[in-house]
Amino acid sequence: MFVYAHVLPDRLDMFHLWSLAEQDLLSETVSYRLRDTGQGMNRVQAAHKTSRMMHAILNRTQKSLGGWVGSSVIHMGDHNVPNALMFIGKRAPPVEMDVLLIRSVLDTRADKYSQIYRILLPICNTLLQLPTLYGTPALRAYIDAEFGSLDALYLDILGDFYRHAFDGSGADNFYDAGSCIDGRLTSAWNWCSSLEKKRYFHVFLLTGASSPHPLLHCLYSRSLVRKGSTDSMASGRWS
Amino acid sequence: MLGFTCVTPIRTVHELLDAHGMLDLLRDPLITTATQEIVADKRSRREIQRDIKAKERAIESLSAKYSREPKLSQESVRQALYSIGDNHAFLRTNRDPCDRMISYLQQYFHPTQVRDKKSADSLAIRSGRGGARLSHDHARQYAYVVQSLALWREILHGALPLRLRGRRCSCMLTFSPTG
Repeated sequence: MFVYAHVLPDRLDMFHLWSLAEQDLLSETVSYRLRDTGQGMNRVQAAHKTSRMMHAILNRTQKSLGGWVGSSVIHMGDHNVPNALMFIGKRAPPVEMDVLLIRSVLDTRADKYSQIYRILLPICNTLLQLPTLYGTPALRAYIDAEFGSLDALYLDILGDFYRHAFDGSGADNFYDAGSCIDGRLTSAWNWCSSLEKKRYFHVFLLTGASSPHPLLHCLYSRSLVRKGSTDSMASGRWS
Repeated sequence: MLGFTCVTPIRTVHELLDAHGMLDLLRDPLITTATQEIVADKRSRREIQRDIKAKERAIESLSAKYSREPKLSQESVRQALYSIGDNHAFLRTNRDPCDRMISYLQQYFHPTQVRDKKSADSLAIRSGRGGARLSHDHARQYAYVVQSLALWREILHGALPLRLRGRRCSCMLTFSPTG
């Protein structure tokens, strides 16, 4: 596996990372320690191979873009550790959990990154469906009245996403979130969890109807729990 | 401590084929058809059905050609082909949204200029406003978003395609990394 640390193949992917994370977990030379991390006894173990790979990928991205804004710290093994084994499951962690996830020394970064599509896919689906939505006279009137035009709606959603899914929010202190590599993902998760408070949330509900996505579905149900049955549009669909 | 180890190596498609000297399967022209993902998009049911049939036929013909009963069963070869197909499907759901969000960014926003009169296309954020923890002007935030998405993309499936790499903004060179 040393090959990956020195010469990156042209195309590498998540499977390499998964494989490296597993090797780190099962390493016979780097053992783990049981430690009380403040969240109970946890398994603390360095993840050298995964870490090296992540740094190599980051390095290559930085070179190909020609510059870098913000921190390029990859947190790995520098914090208290929750029991990382619970993150190996494929469910989407809630934001609070994700903050813990950053701290995971027993490296589950590969799993963390496999959640990216859960954030981006529902947004892409909604954006792709907007023109169809706009084709219905009643919805066209709604969008025009509420947002001005279809393009303005696009700008509204995209602008908010690009601003606040990448604004350093979501962690409990500046060092953790900020602009470090993992913090970026945390902010994106944080944005998702506030989706229901956005002006354009109804548009997401409208497009979600034809293809409910797990993440959005979960957000819908959460919004139902919080808002009770006052939101007639949501309760009509998901009750 | 246990007197035995619970760890067994992962079995990969490559190992399976290599052990039976069947690596040629990976170079067979039919493999593309046999492992391609069939995307519905806006195509007719008939076209999709035709693709599905072609894929099934390719899988059958390859698994018959490269299996060596009883050592390497036809079912094992089929499973290997499905496995490669799963990989394609995974990458498409994971990687494509990154590419699309980069495209949207390039389509609706300018790397350095705010062109809208009401600044609707400004990406500037200020720490403390709207929950933000960072302060970036428009150009810096644009660069920050591009590189974050590019990094995710790179982690998921290698470097960005050239078409998305195009507009490299010179302003990025002037920013030094900060905490």
